[in-house]
Amino acid sequence: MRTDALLVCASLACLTALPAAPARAEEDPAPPVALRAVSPDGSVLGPCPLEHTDVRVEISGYVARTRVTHRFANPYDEPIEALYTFPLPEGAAVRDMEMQVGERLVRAEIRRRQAAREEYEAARRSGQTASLLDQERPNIFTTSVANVRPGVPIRVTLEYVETLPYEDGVRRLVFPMTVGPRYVPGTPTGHAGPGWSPDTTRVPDASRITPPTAPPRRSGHDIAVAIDLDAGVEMGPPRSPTHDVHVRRIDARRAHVELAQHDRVPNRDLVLEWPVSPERIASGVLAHRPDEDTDGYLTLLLQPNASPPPAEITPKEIVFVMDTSGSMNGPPMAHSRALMGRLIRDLHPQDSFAVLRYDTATSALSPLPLENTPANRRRALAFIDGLEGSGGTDALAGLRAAFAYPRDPSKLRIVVFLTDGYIGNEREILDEIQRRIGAARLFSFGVGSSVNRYLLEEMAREGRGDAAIVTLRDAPEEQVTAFYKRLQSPYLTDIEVDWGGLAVDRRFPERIPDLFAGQPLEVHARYRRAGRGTVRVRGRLAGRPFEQTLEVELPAVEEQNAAVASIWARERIAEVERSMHGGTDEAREEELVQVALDHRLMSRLTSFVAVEHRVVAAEDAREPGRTVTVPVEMPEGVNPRTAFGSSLSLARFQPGDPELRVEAPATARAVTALFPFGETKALRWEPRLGRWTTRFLVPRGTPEGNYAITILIHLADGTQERLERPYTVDASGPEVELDALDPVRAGATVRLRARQRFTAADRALHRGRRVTILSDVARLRVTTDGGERVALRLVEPGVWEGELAVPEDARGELELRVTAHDVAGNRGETTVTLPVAARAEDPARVARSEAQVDATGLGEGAP
Amino acid sequence: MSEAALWLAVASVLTGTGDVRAVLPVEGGAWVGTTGGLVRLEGERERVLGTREGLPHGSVRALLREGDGIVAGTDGGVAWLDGRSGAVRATRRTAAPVHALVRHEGALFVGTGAGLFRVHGDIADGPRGALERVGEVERVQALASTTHGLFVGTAGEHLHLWQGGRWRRLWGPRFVWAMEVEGDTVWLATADGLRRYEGARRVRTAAERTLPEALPVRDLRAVRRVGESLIVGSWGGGVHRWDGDRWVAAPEAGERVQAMAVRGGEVFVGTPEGLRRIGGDGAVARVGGGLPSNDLSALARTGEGLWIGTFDRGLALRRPDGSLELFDEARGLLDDRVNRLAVDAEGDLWVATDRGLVERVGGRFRLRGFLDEHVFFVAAVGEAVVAAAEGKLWRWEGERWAPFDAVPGARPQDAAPMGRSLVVGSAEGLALDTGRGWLHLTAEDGLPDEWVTAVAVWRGELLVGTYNGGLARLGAEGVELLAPGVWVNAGALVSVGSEDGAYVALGSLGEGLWLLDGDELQRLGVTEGLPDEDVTALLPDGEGGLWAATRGGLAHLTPP
Repeated sequence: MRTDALLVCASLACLTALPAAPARAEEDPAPPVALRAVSPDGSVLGPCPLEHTDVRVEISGYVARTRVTHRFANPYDEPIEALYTFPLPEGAAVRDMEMQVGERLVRAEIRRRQAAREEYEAARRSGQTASLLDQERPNIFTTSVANVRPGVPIRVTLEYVETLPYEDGVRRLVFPMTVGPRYVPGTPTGHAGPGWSPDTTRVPDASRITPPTAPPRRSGHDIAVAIDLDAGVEMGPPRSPTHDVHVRRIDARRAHVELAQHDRVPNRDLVLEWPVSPERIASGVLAHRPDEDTDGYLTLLLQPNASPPPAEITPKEIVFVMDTSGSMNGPPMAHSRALMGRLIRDLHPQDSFAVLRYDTATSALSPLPLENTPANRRRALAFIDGLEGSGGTDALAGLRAAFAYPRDPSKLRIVVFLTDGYIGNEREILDEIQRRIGAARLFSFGVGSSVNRYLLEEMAREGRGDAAIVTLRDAPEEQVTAFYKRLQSPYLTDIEVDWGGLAVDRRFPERIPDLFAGQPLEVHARYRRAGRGTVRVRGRLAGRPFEQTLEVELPAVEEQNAAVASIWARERIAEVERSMHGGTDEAREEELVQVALDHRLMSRLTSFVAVEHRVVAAEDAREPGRTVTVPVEMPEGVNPRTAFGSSLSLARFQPGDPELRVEAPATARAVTALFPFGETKALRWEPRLGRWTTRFLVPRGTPEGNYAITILIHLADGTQERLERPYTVDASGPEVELDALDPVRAGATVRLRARQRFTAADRALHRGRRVTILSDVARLRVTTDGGERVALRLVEPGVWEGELAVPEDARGELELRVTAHDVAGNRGETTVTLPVAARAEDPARVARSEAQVDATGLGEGAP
Repeated sequence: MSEAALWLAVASVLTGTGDVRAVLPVEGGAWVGTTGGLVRLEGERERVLGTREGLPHGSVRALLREGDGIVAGTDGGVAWLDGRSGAVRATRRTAAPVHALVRHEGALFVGTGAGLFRVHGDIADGPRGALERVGEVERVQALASTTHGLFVGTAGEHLHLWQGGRWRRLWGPRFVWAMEVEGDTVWLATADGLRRYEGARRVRTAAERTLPEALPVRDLRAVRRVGESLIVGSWGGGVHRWDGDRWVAAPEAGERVQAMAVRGGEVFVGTPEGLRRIGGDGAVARVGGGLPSNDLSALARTGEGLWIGTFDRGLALRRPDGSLELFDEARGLLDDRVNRLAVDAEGDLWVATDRGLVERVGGRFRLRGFLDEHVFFVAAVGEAVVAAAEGKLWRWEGERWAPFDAVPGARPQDAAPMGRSLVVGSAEGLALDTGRGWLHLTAEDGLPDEWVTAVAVWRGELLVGTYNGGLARLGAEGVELLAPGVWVNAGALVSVGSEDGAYVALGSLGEGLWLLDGDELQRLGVTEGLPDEDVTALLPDGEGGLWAATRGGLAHLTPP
């Protein structure tokens, strides 16, 4: 069978296997081969060497101390370097690391980042086993382990402490397990790290925060989690809404929790919750001061002791800003729709609202906020129902649109930001909020298995709001209810702390956010002298003055509660980071480094390094050990196909006989393509093209799916290069949904809009891949039963529009046949029935409507 | 399907036996597995066995001696043959090509692209039962039986050891093409060079360490022990022998080695260009011939003879005396990738290739346009010649090509005259030139599929073959589906015989040759002697018979 090789050749321009050719980050990032880790130059490095992760957590009250151990093994017959990018809680203060090689235990040292890297590289070159822990983001870390010997496992253990949030009577532990794929805006500038994305002008370290992903259940490593929980007070039964866990109660305050054996694939965050009655939360101060000559640190915990009075509700103007990027497609979008639907339905009569959506463009339901009327609610709900995830994530544009949106000064503006946070330019977003939040509040609502909690919580912090995370396994109703209660009206606002003359400074948070019912106040500070005093917490409780006092003693020496110092240092480092607004400031960076070194903490500018002083790889100096980047699981529920925007896959075709072109020197001895099932093709040099080419057969019976061609280039000097080029075989027709944008009236022209609906077959085809196909529909045609035909045109990724003349004699219903062809030539067909308004003056029901709003021009027409 | 009518039967098959994939020396000759059949060499005589002789498929990639017989692994399954007569005694079909055969622990293990299988029973009694899947390993390329277990080499899935019913993955090299057992030692020919294992343990050797320096290509496809020497064959670097200190090149052994076997002091080397024998005296003999490739794409007939186009090995001319002359890029053809052939009203051959269009004039190929462009097809339509290139349809005006205006549809696939009109099948339906404009028919108009791959006129009606919608007939009463669901190869639709007794021949993708008479249907496949189930081109022989080009060679069918 000879397909149209011309089209296939043109479509397969990407099959030109180029060694490390840069591309725009938004388009076709080099996808991994399923199950294998891929180096930045596209060569396959091998299987995942991370065998197991062991997590031990000790919880004492509201502080958790966690030890995470990664066990690496080398499946090759020569030493390798392992690179593993993984998440930790964004508030984690990472304060220790050790490396065990066989029986030898090496404790890591904290160094300036550059110095740690140099020490590590020197050890690697000299054949020593070494490990390096770098922080890429406050919640993303990379472990590098050099010279992992065959047959000798290496364990790298790190330790961190954090405080655990408490709200609505529940204290919660969250352990993140995988790094979600990130949309990386900007123009590529290079590729310094092992990740799939190049570094860009807007995300300079993108290559270090985008680890390769593996198909679910196929990365080859699992995780064990054991938690010793001491709530400090009587608690209810611990439970996990995300995983199956075994809980063994020791007494009313303590329990031991373990992850169930069958639920150990690290593809979604682990959440553990345990109820603690607010009355049992004691107010007080925890202090630590190792000796009289050093600084002391404290954590103030205060539980408001007043019950909320009957509601005195301030009218609110809620602006919903919904992420409709590709990574939201599927369950995250469904959850977001459910949340918004619930919020809209439960608005107070005097509230007003607006709905904005964004991916790489923004638009709004209406140019002005809508009053809370049944008709407007229906309109909003219909709008929300029509939203689909597609495109990249330009959250900054969404934020700017929200801040620029016309407002009613008589109402409290609350921005509700719904997203999964799979973006890389967090700094820009947080700076924008800091600059423009004004008197408004911002609440962030995260949906997904591994949302960017750091970003969401920082957004809420900057916006003096709150953050809520809904995993895909949560029943959204519960989360929505809790979230909406906070949204209704903050409980304790404008909070200030009077330290009563105590020698306390460097307090965090500097700007204390509003508290909600049942939520305790938590402040971390440093103290220089011992002392005793009365601490007063003042604020407004439902609009009325509030004050609560606490007698506090700051000890001269207190060796317990060392975690308090680490937590303070972590807050201090975060505060210094924020003060730099994403830029550089030598003095502040030096201050940050000093805090981190003094407290032995990981930071952006400090790293842990451990070196075993014994050489392991003396042979083959010409061939240093290969580097293997460990792939991470794609978070549950994320459709890898739509996670990254609107680029079309260029290696997708029906069974047939496409052409392969390879860039290699004309003097190469041989260029060979190895196809699945072992077929080998010798490529030949074509001087006019300047390429090595061959064409190959994709047999008819080839199952749909992703395949890879291995290309061996034997150069004239005897060296050999290896490249991998994936391709996709697709034999399923696309499915589309069609709507009318105008009333359908006989004799009128109606605008039609169609969107591709991704099917289970589409998702299966791209499971495990990061290259996404927003829309692969190449042609779309609508035909009436009377034979009227119109071809729709592509107006934006995944959206097609056209105009159809409705027959004069159309009555009752208009049946339309929608035929779609994808880029591989598959055809799909569906029938849509639209109601026809009998007379022109009849108000026909509008299926969808949407107003395009320019984000910079929203100020016009403000009330 | 009609059982009474038997319009055609396979009379002969022509293949190419130059692409050698396996060699098994025997006394007085050798068995040679090629993509064009199993060749029995006896002295200077050759005998080719294929599907007509009962092989599951004509492409043979693996051979194993068993007693006085042999086992052949083909692209369609395994066959047990009598070692003297070559008669096929038994077969077992496989879903993927067979790359390796070995006897281990009393059973025959069969390595295929879809996995590892085993069957019990020996050559004397024949296989017992069906092939049984062993483990989950896929893409098997090589097998070696040792006392430590069964070594399984794969294409991309590393090395595995099957020991006592348990699997152990040895990782190591990803692509293992061949293995040689020497006591407790297993030598591996891999895409990364030579490897040696003692049991399950990798052992580095001097031969291996010097490999990158001494060999021009490290992609090794074969390894054999010859006396005290070790011989390797690479893909692109020829054959080399290790003499204890260094690698020595074997001259004129061919550059791309696919198989190697040893008999006494002789080394047999299988390459895509034939079998070479390096004798003890250093002499080289070459064996192989026939078509340049068995993957055929096009057919045409001129006064010179029968022209046979191949997927990527150029063109062959079969003269009336049966001799073959080959044309490729080195021998005057513009490009080796032939897509379609046509003969114009003057009897000249036109060749559509992946890099342009040529016409054979005066015994030479002359460029006629679309240099460096993919020309999908060329067809003679009455007095005119039309071609599809650059996504459009063109007509030859003697000195230049002129595009047809506003032909509906995109990516033309085939064209045929219908009276004075032109009918064009494309990836977006069917276009008919009514003389006052084009009529465009699509699936909405009843076509079984919009991707029209072949058009032909039969009994005054238009036949339309599609990519995966089957064959339809367009008549006065509309569209009638003649053969639903069959995938019709581009251009593989012809009417055969006289108008009154004519029938239609259809070349399908994966379902053989179809003959239809409107009411009756006959299907021929491998079981009926076709070399392959993919029939890519058809040409009536003018005597009531048919030439059928397939991906496994050329068949000539005649009335029985």
